[in-house]
Amino acid sequence: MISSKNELITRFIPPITNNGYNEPFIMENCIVDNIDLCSARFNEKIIIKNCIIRKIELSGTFFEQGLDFSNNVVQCYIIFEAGGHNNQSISFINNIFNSFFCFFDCYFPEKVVVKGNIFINGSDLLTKEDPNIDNVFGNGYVVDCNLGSLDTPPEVSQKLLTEAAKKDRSVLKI
Amino acid sequence: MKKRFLFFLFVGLWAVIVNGHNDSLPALDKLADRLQRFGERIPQEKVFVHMDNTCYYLGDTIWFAAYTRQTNTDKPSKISRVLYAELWNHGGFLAGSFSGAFGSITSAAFLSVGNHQYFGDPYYTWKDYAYAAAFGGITGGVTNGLVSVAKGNNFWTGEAVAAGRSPFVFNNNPVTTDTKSLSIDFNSSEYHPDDNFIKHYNSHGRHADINLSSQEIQTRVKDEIVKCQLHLKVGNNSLRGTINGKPMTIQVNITSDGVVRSYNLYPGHSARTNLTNPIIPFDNLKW
Repeated sequence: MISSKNELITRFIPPITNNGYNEPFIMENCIVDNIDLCSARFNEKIIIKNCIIRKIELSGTFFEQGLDFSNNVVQCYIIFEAGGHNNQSISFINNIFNSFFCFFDCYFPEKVVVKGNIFINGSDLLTKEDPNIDNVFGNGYVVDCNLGSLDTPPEVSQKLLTEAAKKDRSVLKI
Repeated sequence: MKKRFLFFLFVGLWAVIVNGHNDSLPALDKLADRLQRFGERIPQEKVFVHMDNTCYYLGDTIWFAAYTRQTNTDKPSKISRVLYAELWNHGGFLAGSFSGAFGSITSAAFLSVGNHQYFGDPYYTWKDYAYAAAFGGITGGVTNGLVSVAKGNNFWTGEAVAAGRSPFVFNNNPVTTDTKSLSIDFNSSEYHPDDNFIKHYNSHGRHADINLSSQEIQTRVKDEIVKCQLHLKVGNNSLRGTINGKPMTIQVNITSDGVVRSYNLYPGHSARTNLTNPIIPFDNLKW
């Protein structure tokens, strides 16, 4: 288990262990430039709280034992795509998402809790576009006391994401 | 004033009549004749270069044949004797060169494509990569022993190549079926997308109509990604087409080193995950 507290982190990638999973981690009170969890697969609960995160990447991320993502500020857009696969609940509580939070083609067998967040540019967690790619909630979801839209139409989502991506690129100068 | 005008008119008519008597050729034939004589006195050449492919992968051998023809007779030229070929990379640096005997018909040579890092630059597009420019030029000719080829023709586009050492550039569609120089990495030390793909792609039975095993589908998806590798850019890429007649999207996220961070296959097409990179089409696949 990797534990990071009160640290400045440039880039975080959880290493792959011998048994094919990624090293689980707890991150608290950190300022992080980039958390790269693409294709990560965790068999223990992941905790990220009280952090300022510039960018977090969640393409194909499996939180098999759940996720506690709370009291964070995220500056960049997020794409949580083709992930989830949680046997325990995934919760986003009291966070501020400064850009669009895209949930695309995720599969959540267990509960998803979204409470007390501020989605400044909104999210598409509950957007219905096509049953084949809409997020699937095997055990439902709890959505409460959030600011910002959680069912942004696909066209609007795409526009917001494109703008955010361009902005991000220009900031990074890549 | 009138007298002066009549005088000049008379002189002009006289000149035309006298000249016409001396040379019975009409004006157009006269011009053609002059051009013919110019071609005989100062022969011009056209250079043609044939390539064995329209684009090349890193490390490929470029085979080409070149020949010159005289512009006035359109017959093989024997004026130029040396062929110089140079390979320039996208940054304008010389990556290889060749010089050899230039026969009247052909002279085959080869260069190796090198000094390219396709994934090293996020803004380095597939077109740039296809611009493995080859150059054909001939020296030893007619004007002060310098460049003899006033003009050449790009064999593919038919466009003229400017005088001197002007590289001509191929921007034909790249051949995407050749996977021998695979540079896409599905098994890096940091990401392992294969397991997650298998578990996710059919997580709620959405691909049940494709009558193939998960491994077989995965192999085909990976093959398709590799085929499109020249088009891929850093970040999320959407490959769109049809599989067995149904609209499908292959989503792939890669790093600047060509490492695949994640990939996914889903039915339909969505605009949501296609951000700044252009959509890459693929043909109707029969699985």
